[in-house]
Amino acid sequence: MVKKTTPTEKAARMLDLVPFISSHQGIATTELAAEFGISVEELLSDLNSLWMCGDNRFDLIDLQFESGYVTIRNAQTLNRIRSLSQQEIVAVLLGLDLIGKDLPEDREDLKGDIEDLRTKLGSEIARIVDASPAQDSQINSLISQALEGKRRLAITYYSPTDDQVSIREITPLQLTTSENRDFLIAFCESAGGQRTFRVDRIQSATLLESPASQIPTSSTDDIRTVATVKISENIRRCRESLGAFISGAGPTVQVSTYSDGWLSRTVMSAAGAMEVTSSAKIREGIAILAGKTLDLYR
Amino acid sequence: MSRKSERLVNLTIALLATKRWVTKSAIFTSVDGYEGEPEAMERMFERDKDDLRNLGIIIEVGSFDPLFEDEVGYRIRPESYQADLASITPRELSLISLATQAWQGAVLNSSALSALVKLKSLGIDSDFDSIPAMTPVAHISDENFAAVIDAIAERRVISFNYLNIDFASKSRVIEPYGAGTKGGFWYVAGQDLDKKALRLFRLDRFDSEVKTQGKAASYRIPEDFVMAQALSTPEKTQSAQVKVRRDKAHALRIRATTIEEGDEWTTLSIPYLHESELVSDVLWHGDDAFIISPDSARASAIKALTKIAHAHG
Repeated sequence: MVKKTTPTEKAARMLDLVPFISSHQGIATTELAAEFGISVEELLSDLNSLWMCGDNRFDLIDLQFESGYVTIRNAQTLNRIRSLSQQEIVAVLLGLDLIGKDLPEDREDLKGDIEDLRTKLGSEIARIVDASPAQDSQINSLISQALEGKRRLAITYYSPTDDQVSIREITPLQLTTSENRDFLIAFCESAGGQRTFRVDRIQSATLLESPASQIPTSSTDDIRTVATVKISENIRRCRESLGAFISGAGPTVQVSTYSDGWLSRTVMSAAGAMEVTSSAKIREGIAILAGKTLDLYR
Repeated sequence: MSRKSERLVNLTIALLATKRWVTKSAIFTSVDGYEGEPEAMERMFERDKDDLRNLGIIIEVGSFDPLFEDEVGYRIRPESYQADLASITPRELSLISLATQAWQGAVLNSSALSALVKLKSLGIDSDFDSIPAMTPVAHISDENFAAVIDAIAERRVISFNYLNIDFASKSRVIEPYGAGTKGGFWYVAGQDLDKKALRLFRLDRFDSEVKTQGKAASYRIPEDFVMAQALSTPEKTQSAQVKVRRDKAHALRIRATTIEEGDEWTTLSIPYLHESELVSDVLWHGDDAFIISPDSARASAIKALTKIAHAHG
């Protein structure tokens, strides 16, 4: 997990340590290491190197850290906060953008702060980056609270496959990411089993006082269907609409899914660009649905 | 290996502390870490300059007397080294701190962290009580994103393979202008040098690593380029009449501009941009929805349904 630091990266960190320690004199080495996202060993190595530096060999930086707490003297030249790099500015601005677009209506004050920060950090860069959140970051925050506090959530959830908006009581179990999207695995009280929810389809959430329920260990082993789908046009779009559930590199792909309904809707909306070649059962279902839909136009 | 980092720090101190130009020979005698043959020291110094430049530390070159071609000197201007962050307030610092959390586990995490450390060096308190509980997430672990950001910063042309509409991998060469996210996808906007037009590329459709080509500062980003505009959805100027079954087709209902409830069927007006997308969205709902107008969309739906029924029958 820990990436090997290059000498240049180490030098950069040494330069950044000086102003940080100056404004946090007496900070514990453990805390300082955590702020810089490094191990205490790495920090001590940085401090030992820094201790050898200075204007010349008779005027070195005076660093004390044997006691486990760090103080610094005689580092006037380096006691400056380095300019932010473009990548650092981009990271901050995109993060601010994600927050700004999710703030409650009545927080004009914070929206103003974010506008000011865009100018202070660099309006030239602010102009060329932009982020809109895919999901409500206040809902994310509620999910984290429920997971940490082992509490239940009441959610309003929209399922395109079932074409239904439902209100459910859930016990969040785990948050996972797939294809740049968050999925919440939870025990659903309403369904009486484990379910996976796409976080961006949770329309609202409320944290409940009632604690998480005892989850029955017998999982509701969903039965996966495996189907073969042949794509005749718009290959990229069709593959993307089949999402994470496909294997096979060319126009013929295997799709494994928990829901035949989802697959037949996806094939319908491909408007003729996809054909299910197996199983016969799914083929028949799609043929009947297409026929019934066609009748509506007669 | 830490000798190298120490030398870089010492070189920075020496060039930052001086108000006058420092010559190379003065650097070699006074800065700890330069040793060996003159040519070896020269090479060392050239590499060190490059490394510092990569950290964003700009070393100026000048001479004592512009009238004479004497030995050039070097220095780092404190104004260019130092960040101008004096006016950041405690509440703003809390917002920045929250913003950097978006990158946990994502590709710019180390940049977000180092930015935060620099801002915390101001020594001002944060004011977390004044901001609401939010957990922003950036969700991009694709290393290509970091490569694109660096290329934009240096104004370098990039090339990569891109999955086109037929899922064929084609080489693209662009001058990247900007980057951003919308609807859960990440995009790069840039001037496509073959197509000679501004194009938007989705990062998850990249089929290779991003490579830079040519020199830095090889193009300019137009004054009027704004990423938010590049990502904005064009206004949906057309409208379709669609009938949906009672209590069905919620995804269509929420997009409708007018809703006329009937006994069994509800009539919706749905704004749309591309007819093919409208048809797809209506077909998703199977026999719970059908198109009344425009005629062309209705005809496309009938054609598609006939094809589906035929293929699966």
